[in-house]
Amino acid sequence: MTVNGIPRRGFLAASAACGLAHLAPFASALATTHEDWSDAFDAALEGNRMLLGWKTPPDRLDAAALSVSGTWPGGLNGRFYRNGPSIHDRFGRRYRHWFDGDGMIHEFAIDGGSIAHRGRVIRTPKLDREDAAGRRLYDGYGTRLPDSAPLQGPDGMNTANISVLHHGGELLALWEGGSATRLNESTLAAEGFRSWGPELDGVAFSAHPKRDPDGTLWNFGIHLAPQPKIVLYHIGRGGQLLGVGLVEAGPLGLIHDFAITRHSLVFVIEPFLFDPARLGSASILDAHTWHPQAETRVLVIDKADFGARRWHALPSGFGFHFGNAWEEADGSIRLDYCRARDPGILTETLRYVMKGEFVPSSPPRYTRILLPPGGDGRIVAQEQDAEFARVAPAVVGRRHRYVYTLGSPGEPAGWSFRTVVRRDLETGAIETFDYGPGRIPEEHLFVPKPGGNGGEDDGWLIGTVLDWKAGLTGLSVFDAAAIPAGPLAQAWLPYPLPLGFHGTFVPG
Amino acid sequence: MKRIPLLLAAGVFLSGLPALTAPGISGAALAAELTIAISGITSAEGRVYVAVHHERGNVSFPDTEGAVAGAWRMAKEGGFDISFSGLEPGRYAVSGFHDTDGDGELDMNLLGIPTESFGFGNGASGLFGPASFEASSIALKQTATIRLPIGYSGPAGPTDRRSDQ
Ligand SMILES: [Fe+2]
Repeated sequence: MTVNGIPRRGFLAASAACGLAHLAPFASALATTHEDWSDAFDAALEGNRMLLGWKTPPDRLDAAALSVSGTWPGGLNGRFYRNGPSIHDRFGRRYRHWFDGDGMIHEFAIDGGSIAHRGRVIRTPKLDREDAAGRRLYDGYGTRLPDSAPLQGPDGMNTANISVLHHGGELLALWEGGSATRLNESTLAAEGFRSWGPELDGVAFSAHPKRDPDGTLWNFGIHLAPQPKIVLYHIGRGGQLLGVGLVEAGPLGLIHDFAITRHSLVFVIEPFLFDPARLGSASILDAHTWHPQAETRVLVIDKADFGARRWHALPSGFGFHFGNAWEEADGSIRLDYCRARDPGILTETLRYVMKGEFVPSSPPRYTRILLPPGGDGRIVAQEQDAEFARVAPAVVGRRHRYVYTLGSPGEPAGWSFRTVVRRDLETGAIETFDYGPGRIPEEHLFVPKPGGNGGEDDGWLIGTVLDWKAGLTGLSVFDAAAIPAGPLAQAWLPYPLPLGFHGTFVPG
Repeated sequence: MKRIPLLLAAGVFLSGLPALTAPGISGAALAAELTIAISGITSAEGRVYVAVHHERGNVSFPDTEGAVAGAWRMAKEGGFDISFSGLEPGRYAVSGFHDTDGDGELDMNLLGIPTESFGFGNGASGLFGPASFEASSIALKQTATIRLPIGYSGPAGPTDRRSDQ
């Protein structure tokens, strides 16, 4: 454990308890601006069924035998899990940002071409307390309540709503402001927070851990206040903690993802920065300031020595997700990133969609970045719009040829995904499947074929799609080497699921 | 495990007395009695510690260095009162925590976030830190009772519950 040298503070600083702020004293002044968005959303949904993707589902969903079209690949057996903000409305109150809804775990159990679905709201301590109180108690990332209750720490508002991790025999629902939540694999019930050790209880564990090809897991957590800090985790194959680091990197803001290479951990600190002084009446999101004239700072940390670091500058931009990164022989790092001009997608599009309004924003584009061993970083290429980039597990942190993303067929405008794309970084070829009008794909994952050659295209792509015209969600599987041919098979649920974020596939 | 001695400086660790006499305060008018109504204790494990700050020492609140009195009781589910008699009239703020492992210290993670339940007088809370002396305090003339919810299971906060439906 590399926790020595961490500054220790007294109880007070300590009662930083309140990690993510309780703001009730300011709330009464805001009462008039808190008219609920439920009615506006419901009215908009009548006229635009695409908004089905942001409608709250029941707490529990079950479908025993999905209807399957096409031929499900015989070797593709296991469980495909997904997570995302789901309980957007409860007790007559609707959150004001997509990121705020309570998480819901979805399991697609695939066995010999027979597929069953279970969806369960993740019963976090936060949701349990709210249900016991009969009202929403806590502010969200982008929502301030007029009457929110105090927190004992960030986990007090933990909605476990971003991703799913299966590692060391454990199934975990991931958030990014606090702890991971343990899920029971048989029942999918939440079983409390995952502790990595007493000093790490309640410390942020982000939703984009990276599994190194050596089988170990790297992750980070961001704490914005009282002092901005990045926590680093290295976790063994069996789920045991191998190392922890604490990094001070100056002002921080939302950092949703990171990248690894063979030797390094890479953090891109965009100039969208949290300012605690703005928290008075603002949500955590609204206490961030966009500094378009400022540079982006890229921090590269040596995996073997967290104290060995290098910095690079880049022109400002904003993104959520990386495709991958790798090191060249001369120490240069190549970093692929889904990056927009500014954070409008976060501050506008994904906020007002909760009210039923689509506000266009700068789309994330597939951006290829070079970080030479010394000096500024360089943007080598900015290509078509791309989000939810995934590579084959075998090439995480290693040079990759193929990357799989979502995209748009026309002029992208914020959140308008319709296509699944494979990019070939060697030839520049782009292969696309267009789901067509009325369908919105979600993240598609690469699953290696059992007994295959382990190659980057010797596998399947598996992912969900919302058919908002039909009001149904489906699960698609593609041959990763033949994306334009369309899905090999699709399994349709008898109900729609809200659009979510990330998932994982567990073979078996 | 990071441990912070919350009440060592407060002096008193007496238990089982109906009312404690605050140390370190001398003079004529020590006639007032402050009762702390603790609530929200979820288990009988360990102890519950409280600390009392007088307005003169408010800059250090809730650091126990500046506390004028403190006490602990064996934890029991729900709530109970602790009274301090012989106090000088004035303004007092209180804080407390549930020391579930009974080591006399408020355990914290490596970022300084407590991993045991805590609370401030009146159910006050702070922004990225402890509640203020002012919000956690009450005026004491002869007798007064201040509410100290610990953790999440006490009253949801200083705000009255509103009807949402
Ligand atoms: Fe993500």
